[in-house]
Amino acid sequence: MAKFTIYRSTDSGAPVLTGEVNKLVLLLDACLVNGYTASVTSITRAGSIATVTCPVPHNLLTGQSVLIAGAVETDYNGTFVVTVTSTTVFTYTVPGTPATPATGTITYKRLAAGWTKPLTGTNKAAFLQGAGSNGFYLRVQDDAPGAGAAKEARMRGFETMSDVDTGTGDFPTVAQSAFGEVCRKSATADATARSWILVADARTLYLFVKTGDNAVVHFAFAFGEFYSLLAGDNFRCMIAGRNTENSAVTTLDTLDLVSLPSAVTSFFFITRGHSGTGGSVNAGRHGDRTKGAQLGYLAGNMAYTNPANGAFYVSRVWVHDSVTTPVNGLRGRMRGFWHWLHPIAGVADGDVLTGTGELAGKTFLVVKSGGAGGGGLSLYIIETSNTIESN
Amino acid sequence: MAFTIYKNTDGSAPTLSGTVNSYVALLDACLVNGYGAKAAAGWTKPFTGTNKAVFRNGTGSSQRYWRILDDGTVPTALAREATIYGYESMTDVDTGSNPFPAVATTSNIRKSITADATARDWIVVADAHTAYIFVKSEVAVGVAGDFLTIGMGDFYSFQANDVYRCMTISRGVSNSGASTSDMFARFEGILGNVTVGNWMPRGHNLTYGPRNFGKHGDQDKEGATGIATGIIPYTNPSDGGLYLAPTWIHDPTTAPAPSVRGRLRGIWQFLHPAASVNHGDTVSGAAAGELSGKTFEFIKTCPSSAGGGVIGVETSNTLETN
Repeated sequence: MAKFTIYRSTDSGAPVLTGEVNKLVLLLDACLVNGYTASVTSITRAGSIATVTCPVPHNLLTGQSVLIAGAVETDYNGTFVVTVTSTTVFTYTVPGTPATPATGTITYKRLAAGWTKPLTGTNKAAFLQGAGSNGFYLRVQDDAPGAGAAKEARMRGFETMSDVDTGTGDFPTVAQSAFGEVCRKSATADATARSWILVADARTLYLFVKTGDNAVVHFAFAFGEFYSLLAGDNFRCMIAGRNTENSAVTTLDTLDLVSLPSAVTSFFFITRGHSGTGGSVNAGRHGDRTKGAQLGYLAGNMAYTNPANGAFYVSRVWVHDSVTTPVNGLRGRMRGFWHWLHPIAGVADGDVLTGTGELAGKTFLVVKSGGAGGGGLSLYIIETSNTIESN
Repeated sequence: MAFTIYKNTDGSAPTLSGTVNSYVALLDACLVNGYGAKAAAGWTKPFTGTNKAVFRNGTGSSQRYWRILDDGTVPTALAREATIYGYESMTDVDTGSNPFPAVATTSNIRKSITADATARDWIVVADAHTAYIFVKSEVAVGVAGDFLTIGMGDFYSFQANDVYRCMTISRGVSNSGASTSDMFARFEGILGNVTVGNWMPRGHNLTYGPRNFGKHGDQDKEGATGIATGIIPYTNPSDGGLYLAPTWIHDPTTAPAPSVRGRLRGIWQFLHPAASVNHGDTVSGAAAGELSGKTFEFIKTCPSSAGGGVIGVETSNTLETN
């Protein structure tokens, strides 16, 4: 099992995403590779419990780890799992009995997701998945590469890379998409800050950006590992972004799309098919088509909550392959990524849901997306508990 | 809990044919009395009459009533068919309250294509709560063909203390052997889609009024055909896996709608092409998968004209039971 860290533009110390060159690289750098720090108002101790008060909302979740630094009483310093008690207060278990309150210039650091950035260039970089993964590369070209200028970056996966511009095993291939996948940063090529959420661990990332093109819709990009059904799967990596450059149209976002196992999903590529040969494959995703009311995107039409038991229903999102023979096989499931099976009006953007029944022990974050109508009709349900499937 | 599987090939098994009372005798033998080496499923038969009987599911179940009229009076069909109606309560073989479906609704059982003594293959899958009766009505005993299916008894309900967790699954047509009219192995969307011939007495609001419910499995892996088959290669190339979906019961009419009420006990949708397995094949769930600990027997069912269906009957002691 594994757990994602949630990074937000509203975090204290978070990087700023704009429609300027290199801003996406800096965002990924901060979240995936370096982490970022925020100041602390005070730390007090009662018994073994240290209580941290922050000057602004910390946006942490119970169970998340932070690095405390700068306390003169060094027992307070180190990496700890926090328990959130309010929007500005969290606690952790401190070793020893240091003096209270703590003194010094104290900070807490939101830890990086565990990726590295082995290759860089001017306004571009290649990020490498971390421990336990296949170790594939995400190349980010953030130098105003296409018609969208600095409003967008071009993204492509590689199995190996020797410099920031050179690699093998690209997904999608250039033949599949000359520009790769699009990650839209902003509706305007300027310094206007945009709201974003990045959910990641060392293997997988999901990025949601309110670009300003639509008031309620997050544009999305995903890269990294899916949970594979194939034993010893050395190619369990996917990429999903927008399928058109220089467009504000919400329906050109593809991460919220689902399709039958006999069909591909637009701009959803996996490193290789289940045969392990042949390179990049346009794969597909599906959830629960019946409870999803055949909508083709991540929403449904079951009464919310279900009247017989008061429960909410989500489905895992399966990765299928309608290209590699024998076709229509199931390859795996998206990690920590679920299909909402009720109308979107049941919940609000940012809600945190607690599962019951078969979902007991899981928590989920609600992120509003576009849907086929493009007006905020679908939801990403991101698993935030330490329950994520991992190979 | 586990089902007992009764078959016409068992020693001392009753014979089903297009003659009066043969269906009552079949249920009597399997559900109430047992035969040969097979113990009864644990139902009772509280009321009887000439060529008719009322069966009641047993201890721990909803303990409702199913009236079988097997007297050869179905117009034109005669003894080829019988009728079945569930009742919430009954006082004699002809008197009951709160039927499901309503008595004005066609609710038939196809026994045989001929109104004579020709024996037909049958399989009864039952425990004290639930019974499924599969009948090969059109071909000679032992010849390949698809089974028509009746369901009676309880489903697994999501609703706490649901004393109305009972269903009747029958044929909504009279004097017809059309396999496409058999609705046991049919699956629907959830928006306003009911499955003909599938009834429960009350919606989730628990107010009496027969509800024509719908069933669904995994419409994606099924390929959106509405049939109990699928499009996933057998076995799935990445993990060599068998994929089955539970059969969900949805209610598209009781507000707020649509909703899911429960699942059919021990009935699974086969998510691979029908030709992947043979009728009667048995399999075990993978040791580590979601089907771990379960075993299944496949029954080839209707509708054959739409490509055939395969039901996986759960044969292990793992049935969902309220």
